[in-house]
Formats: sequence, C-alpha cells, structure tokens
Amino acid sequence: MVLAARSNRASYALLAGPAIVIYGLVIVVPVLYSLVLSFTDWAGMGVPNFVGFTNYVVMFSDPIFWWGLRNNGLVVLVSLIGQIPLGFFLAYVIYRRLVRHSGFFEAVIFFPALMSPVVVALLFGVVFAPSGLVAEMIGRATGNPMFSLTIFNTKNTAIIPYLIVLLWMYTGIYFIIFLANLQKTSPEMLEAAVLDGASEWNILKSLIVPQQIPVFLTSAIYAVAGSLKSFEILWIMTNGGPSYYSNVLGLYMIQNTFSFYKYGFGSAIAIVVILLSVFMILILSSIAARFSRRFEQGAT
Amino acid sequence: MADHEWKSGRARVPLPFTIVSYVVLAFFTVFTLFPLIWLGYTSFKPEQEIVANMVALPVNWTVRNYVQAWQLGEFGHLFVNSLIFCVVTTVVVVLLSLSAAFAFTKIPSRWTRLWFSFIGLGLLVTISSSIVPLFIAANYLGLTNTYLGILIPYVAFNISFAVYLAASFVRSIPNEVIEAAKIDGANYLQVYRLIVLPMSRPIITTIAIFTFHACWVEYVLVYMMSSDSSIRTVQVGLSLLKGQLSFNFGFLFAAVVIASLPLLILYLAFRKHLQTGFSLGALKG
Repeated sequence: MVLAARSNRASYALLAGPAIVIYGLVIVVPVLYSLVLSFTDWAGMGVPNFVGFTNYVVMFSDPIFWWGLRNNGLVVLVSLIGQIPLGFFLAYVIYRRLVRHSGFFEAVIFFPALMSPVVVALLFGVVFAPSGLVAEMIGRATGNPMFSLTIFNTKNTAIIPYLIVLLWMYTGIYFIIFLANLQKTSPEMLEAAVLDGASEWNILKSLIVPQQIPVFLTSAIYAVAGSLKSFEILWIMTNGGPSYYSNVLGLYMIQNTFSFYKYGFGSAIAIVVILLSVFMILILSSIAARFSRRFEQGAT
Repeated sequence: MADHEWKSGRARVPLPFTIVSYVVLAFFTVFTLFPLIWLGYTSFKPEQEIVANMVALPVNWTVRNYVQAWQLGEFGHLFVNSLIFCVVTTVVVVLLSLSAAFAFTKIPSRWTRLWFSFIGLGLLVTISSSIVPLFIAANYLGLTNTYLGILIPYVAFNISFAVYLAASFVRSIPNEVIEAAKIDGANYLQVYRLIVLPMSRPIITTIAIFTFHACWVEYVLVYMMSSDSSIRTVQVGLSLLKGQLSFNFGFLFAAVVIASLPLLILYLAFRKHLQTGFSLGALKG
C-alpha cells in the first residue's frame, strides 16, 4: 500500500511535472524577476542600482501613461458596449434561424477573429491611411480627388481606427461564445414558450437574456483581461502615433524598454499592466459571483 | 422533429425583428467581406492602376506582385521557420497538457487544486504582456536568435489553456476503464499511453488546431527575439515588408495573401475545432 502510494506520487510527478515546470520557469520566474528590476534603474547592461519606487512615481506623473490608460479604457469599452452585445445579437439571430444561409453568416462573422494581427494591421493601415482606401472613397463620393483623411490625426480621435478594427476582428469571438451557449438551451423550453404564444421579443427578453447573464459576465472578464494584453495590431498600424495619441500601455512599455533602453522603468510598466488586469479580473469575478448567486436565488 | 419545432418557432417572428436581423447581418457581412475582397483583387493589380484608382477592379490582372513578394520576402525560409515552431510546439503542448490533465483528474493528490489554479493563472498573461521579462531572461541565457528561445515560451504560453481543455475531457473518461487497466497490472504511465491518449483523440485535435493557430499568428515574441533573419517567421517577415515599396501595396497585399493561405486552409478544414476552442474562452484582444 505504501509502495503503491509512492508509485502514484512518482507517476503524478512524471505526468504533471513537465507542464508545471516549463510553465513556472517561463511565466512566473520572469515576472518575479521583472518585479525586482522595476525597483532599479537598469539600462540593459551594467549593474542595476536600487531606486525604490522612483520608476512608479515617474510613471504615474507621466501624461503619456495616463493617455495610454485612457486608450486602454476605450478598448475595454468597445468590447463591453460593442463586441459583446453585437456578438450576442448576431448569435441569437443565427441560433433562432431568423435569417436564411446561417452557415454562410456564421463563417463570415467568425473569420476575422482567426486572421493574424499582422495581416489585419497591414490591411487596415492602408484602409485608414490619410490617402488610403477610406480617404479615396470619400474623395470620389464628394468629387474631391485630393481628399485626405485627417480627422484621425487629432489627440482625441487617433485611437478610433484601432477601435473600429477591434470591433471588426473580435466580435466573432463573442459571437462564437454566445452561439455555443445558446445551443445548450433546451429546445423544449422554447417550444413551450412558442406554444404559449410568447412573441419573439418576449422569448429574447424573458427567456434567453436572463439565461445568458453568466456568459455576459465571463465575456466581460475576457474583454477586460484581453484589452490590456495585446497591442501588436496598434504597434504595426500606428505605433502609437501621431505623437503618443494612439498609445496604449503595452506600447508604452515596449517603447520605453526597447527604444529608450529603460529596462527598469519598462519592467515597472509591465508590473503595473499585470497588476491592473489581475485587479480588474478579481473585481469582475466577484461581481459575477454575486450576480449568479442572486440569479439562482431569484430563480428558486 | 427538432426541425419542425424550429419552423413553428420561426413562424411567429414579427416582421420588424426579421428586418432588423437582416440589416445588422448584412451590414456586418459587407463590413467583414469588403476589405478582404478588396485585399484579394488589389493583390492582382499593377502599381499604376492602384495609383490611378485605389478602389476599382484591376483592368490588367497580373501575378507580378506575387512573384515579387515571394522573392523579396524570402517566404520559403519564413515558411520553414513558422512550420518548425508551430509543429514542434503543437506536439509538445498536446503531450504535456494531456499528461498533466490526466494526473490532475485521475490520480488522487491533495496538490491538484494548488497546481491547477497555478496553471490557470497563465490564462491571464500573454506573450505580449510579459515580453519585457521574457526578453531580459532570454538575453541573459543567450537564447535570442535561437529556436529554443521561441519554442520554450510558445509551449509555456499555450499550456494553460490546453491543460484546461484537456482536463475537461479526460475527467469524462470513466474511472472504471482506468481501474480495470490498473488491476490488469498497468501503471499510470502505461494507462496514459495506451488508454488516455487514444481515447482523447477529439480533444487532441481541438488542442492541436488551436495551438497551431496561436503559434502561426504570433508576432511579438519572434520580432523581439530575432535580430537577424535566422529565426524569422512569416508574420515577422510580413511586418518588415511594410516599409519597402511603400506606395505599392499591391505587392504588400500579395505577400499578405501568401502569408494567409495556410490559415485559410486551416480554417476551411477545421472550422469546427477552432470554434470549439474559441467558444471555451480563449483570451484574445
């Protein structure tokens, strides 16, 4: 019996060990190392000097940091009021077969989510360039061939093309999430509602939406978690420009670290980005937990 | 039967609802397809025609852009690198995630809860958000410009989601099957190899397709880790073409089409698996 327990433990270590070790070494150790570096002035070479919280103080008094945070907030907002509701609506339409050719629409909506960020960035870089596709189409429509698209050059509007691209690209993910969850709804319940004479609007409002609330909440968590983490599209499309107007925190981190060789400062930004997303996810999941508890109580 | 129910459900759809549905869908479809179609035909358009009119269909269709893109972009070399990274990562991730999932769900241990949530934390970080620490570590270890410097992070960053997918599947394998094999004298490693791996084929396909896709479109890590062309992938090569021939984006778009063909094939062949992976909550933008 003791032997069996020991051999169980050995097999457990052998089977689960490699995944845990490689994951821990690559993800956890560098993050901890970076936490240490964030308290130094390391420039990529030489001996780092301990500088306490200087990097953090400098960051929080840098307007570019706050502007990046503002743009990250807009990215979250596009998910919450754009991608998620739109993804839900599209999924509902397909699920209830309110239109024909649902297979075709399903494919079209999902496809952009699979495209590579580099490709999307190159394509939409040309679409939204001052003399790009949009400019040319407006120019032809208004009979002004020299039309140049400059409305996205101002501080407040520079991020808008990126937000449009995000809406285009990632609505499909939420669409797929909702579609998969809608397909779990029991057909009997819908059938009963239809027999009782419920209108499509009532089915949507009283049956489907309440049922999907947990999915809305998890989607919101994905949206928040994802929004801070990816910046490669923006990197290629605008590189944060003009000036820093379309910057997000991820780009701010890259620029400081690799263009200005401020590794300590860059590490501090990385830590703030990680803490920020963990913090927001914790808040959202506690809201989600409370919501689903209330929902269950309400249902009984 | 089910079909009949749907029809009876559909008969009651009020007209305004249908109209709104069609309008939103049509708008979204046009918005999705038009840039892609424009990309497609512009890649066959000669440069002078693009300068003259960006929107119009090509008059003289040409493959010159493709020839130029393939040669200038050195796509042969880039494709080989991309394939190496994707295939090796996929194989390793499948094997490691299934074995870990098997240990977590079928071998009783009080550590499982701890390790499972430890690995779950990985869902919160991406290569992009930890690129600074990753680069510093790789630089310190001399792993920049090496295949290992890419492969190790690729495996690590794909393992969390794969373990999560695999665990939900392996959990559903009946304990009796595993107990029976144990009674016949098999140890856990044999059970893994002879029972769990063969029985998990559906989830293996999903994990494999999903991991392959994630590696194929990854950009930030390879870009940061490569100071010469030795380990560059399709995505990085593509991004570097941006500056060249800046006004001839027929050429750029031809390169984009070349780089996207493998994804298109993956999509057409395995759409359902990709959808399953994404519907279970992969984190993206």
